[in-house]
Amino acid sequence: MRNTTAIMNRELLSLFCSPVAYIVIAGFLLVTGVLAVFTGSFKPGAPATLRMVFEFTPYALAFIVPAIAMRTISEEYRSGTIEALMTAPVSDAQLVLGKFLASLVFYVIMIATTLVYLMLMMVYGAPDLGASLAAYIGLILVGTMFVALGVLASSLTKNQIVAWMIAAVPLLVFVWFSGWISRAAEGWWREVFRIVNISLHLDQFNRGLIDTEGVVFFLCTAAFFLFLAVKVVESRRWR
Amino acid sequence: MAVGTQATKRHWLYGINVIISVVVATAVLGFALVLGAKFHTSVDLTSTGLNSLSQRTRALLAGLDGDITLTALYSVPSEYVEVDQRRQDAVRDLLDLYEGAGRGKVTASVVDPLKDRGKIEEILNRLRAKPAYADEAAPHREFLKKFGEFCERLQAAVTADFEQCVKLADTDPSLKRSREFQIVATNLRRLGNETQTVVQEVAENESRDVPAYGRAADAAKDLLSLTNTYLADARGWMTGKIGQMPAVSDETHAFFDATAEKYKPLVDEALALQEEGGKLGSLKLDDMYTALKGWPDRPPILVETADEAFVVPFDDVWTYRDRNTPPGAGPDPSRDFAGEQAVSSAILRMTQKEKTGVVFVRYGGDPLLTPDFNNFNPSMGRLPTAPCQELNGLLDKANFVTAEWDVKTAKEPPIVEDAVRTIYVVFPPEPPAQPNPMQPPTEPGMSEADKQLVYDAVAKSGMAIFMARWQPPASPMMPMSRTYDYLDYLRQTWGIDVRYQYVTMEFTSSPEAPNLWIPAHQDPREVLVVSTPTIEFTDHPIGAPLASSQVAMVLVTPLAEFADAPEGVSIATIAKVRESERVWAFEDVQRFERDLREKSGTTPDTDDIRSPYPVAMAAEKAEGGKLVVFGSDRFISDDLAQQAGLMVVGGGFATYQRYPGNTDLFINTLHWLTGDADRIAVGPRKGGVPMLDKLKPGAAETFCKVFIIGVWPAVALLAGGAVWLFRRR
Repeated sequence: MRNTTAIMNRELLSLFCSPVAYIVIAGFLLVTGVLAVFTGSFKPGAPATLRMVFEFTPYALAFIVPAIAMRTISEEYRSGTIEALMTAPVSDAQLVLGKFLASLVFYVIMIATTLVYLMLMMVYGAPDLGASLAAYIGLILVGTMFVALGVLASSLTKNQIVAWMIAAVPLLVFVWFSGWISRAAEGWWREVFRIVNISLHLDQFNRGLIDTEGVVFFLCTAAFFLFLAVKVVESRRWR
Repeated sequence: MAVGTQATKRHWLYGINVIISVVVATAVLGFALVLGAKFHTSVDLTSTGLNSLSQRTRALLAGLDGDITLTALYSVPSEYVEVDQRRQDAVRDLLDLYEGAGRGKVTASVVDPLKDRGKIEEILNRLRAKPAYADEAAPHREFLKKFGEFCERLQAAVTADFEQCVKLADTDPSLKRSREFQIVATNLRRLGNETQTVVQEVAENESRDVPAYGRAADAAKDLLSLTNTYLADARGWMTGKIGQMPAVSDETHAFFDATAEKYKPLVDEALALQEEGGKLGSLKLDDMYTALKGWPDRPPILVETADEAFVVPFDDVWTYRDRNTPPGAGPDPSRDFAGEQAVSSAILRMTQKEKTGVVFVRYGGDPLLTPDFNNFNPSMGRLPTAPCQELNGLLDKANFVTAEWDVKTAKEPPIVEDAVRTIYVVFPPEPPAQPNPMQPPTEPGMSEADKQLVYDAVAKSGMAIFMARWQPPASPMMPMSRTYDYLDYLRQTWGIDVRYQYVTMEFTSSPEAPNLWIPAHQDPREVLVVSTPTIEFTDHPIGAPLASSQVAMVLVTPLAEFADAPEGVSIATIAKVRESERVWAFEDVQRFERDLREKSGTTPDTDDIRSPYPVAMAAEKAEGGKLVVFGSDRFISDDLAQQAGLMVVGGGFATYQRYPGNTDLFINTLHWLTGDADRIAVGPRKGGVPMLDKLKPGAAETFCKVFIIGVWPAVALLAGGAVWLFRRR
């Protein structure tokens, strides 16, 4: 655990010591800000809820989160520091978990910056804090899954752009089209696509519901991607 | 070489190991996801419990004696129409909640009839087997059997007779010239054709998946009516007018005499059958089948007990949303999801067999529940109506039995059959007749003895609703001022004061003089109407569930707790006019009219009552007895409670009920009085979404936008710049 924490701290430090992290956060805030204004969330007399913003946020996250995670392991490959890590008393799982947690913490901080919107709403109305809490839990869970996929993609290549594409393309496909596919599919496939429909699960959280199906989906898929990432990193030892 | 072989072997070993572990991990993931989807539960974090069943529904389900089956027939015909999917999801979520709260007594499912035709068949078979419908159609079948036999004879007779008429016309020119003969002959041919058509229609209805005996019987009754008319006319002509045609041959006369004789038993039989058919009502199974068949456009929810079933119509589940519901609240942009209200009401209706009588008490005036046809003048071209006619039907649906008591004419309250208890709804007595407004009334008003009859009935039942209203003061046109006759009783017995001299009005700033006020409603008919959100509910059990419903009242008079309220009575406010400088209760209406005329606006006077103040109050006695007073007697009348509005939906207009909360408020009151809090309607779930009501257009709105899009991202960028600068140093 200590190794994992050490790796996480080192990653976070390197992240926040570079202006890139702040640019990413600023970009995310700009996108969500535009969403908040264009969905009419801050119109006089509008419902005091960020639901409309959160409904569209996953589309932005499908671009942004792979960018956060793309450098985690591929940068180690590119700079050659992976060899040093391989010989250090750190297991592959600790390495992957440390990198993942660092990206996740960064992601949570990024999401937390939108709490300012909620505070602004509290000045001008009385938003449902319970529903907002559920929505934030949903965003953190969806981020957990996205970050895990980003780490897996990063473990597959030393080229960060390729890593970004490996994570972003399936996420975009799933976020943008999973709802449509699940409606178009028939029978057994319909149920399969319903189960993996990210928007559907996230919608439950946006409604203020903590649904165990969504929790299980996001956490299990995140664990699966991390497991695969560990196996990929591990394969460098015997390939 | 050996090292190379070992390395290859090691690669294979690790490779296979990784493949196996990935396959196992994938299987575990799939298993976990399927389990997660199958056995999931949810926690509702919304402060209003928006995604949960109300306490009342949960109590209702917990108290179920028998099993309930809920089946929603919701299809998603096109993946491009997202609203269908969202509706189906919303209904599925709701039914899941019912199943979860039903503790094994509720089985719920959503059937997509497009994908699962077999299920529909299964549902229809299940309905046919229910005791309430199994023998329901026996009289209809018997009637149709007799009708079929009758039709065979009728068709044979009229077809042959028509052919004979054609032959006779060819040989007898005088017949051919007779207009009456031609009508009779044409009618015989038409009757033959019509009989054939109806026989086919009956056969089709009888051979459907669910035989529509009711519809078949209706078709048969129509034909019998036609038969009677045509055959009676034909007989009349054959035995009468034909005699006035001397040119007609004896042979022809003989034929028509025989035919007229032949038709007599046919007409008698048709009359007998028509009488028998008249006693047959519509079949519940037919109606249910028709409602279920509408699933492509108006998907229904079927609620079943072991004995019977009820179809919850689409419009009850998805009510047209009112204009004040925020956009984006709910799965359908054009409708409110009132699924819980509709399904719970259906379950209540089917499981609660005890009925409550509701007696509408008046003194003089026109009937309230059923139109009075005594003085009906057809030349007026308009059928008489009663002010609470539609409400009467709604009360019947909600399991109440209604009656009316005119204390002026009947000195005993009516006995409501089938009711285990009675609630009295007491309206203000009508003022005595005053043909000349400048002269005193020609007859006395309600006497103390008559009032005592009402008080005794209320005391006996222990449950009453008193409808108060503003009583106009004396004016040049009407020098006699009016009072509220039940005022002393309400004050001294229940501790509720009715400020009947005051009437509530809503105002807006005068465009000509900002310190003056003019009526908020431009439509003169609505000047004295006060609606949501000016009227707001407290957390009293009657009104709290309707917090997000639209209600309106007219001629609203303020209520108050009487200063010398009797002991042992607890009084609570159900609804009030909310605090606002724009709303107050006027005492001197003539001053208001004068102000408007002379100053283009008015201001509240020191004698006026400023908001907030109660407009609906409940009182409960420690020793038993409940009473509710409303400051408006017309809020339940159909012209307000059932008033429809027009809204733009898609490319066209749709009607919606403007104030659906009015009826709910009245029915909730009845349930509260009877102690059936579980039966109180919950109102459509509109989310109770809090609004940004403090955010005003202008500077504050611009600040929000600039801060969100500009300032806040810039702060993040500035932090990045600072870090960059710090690192460079």
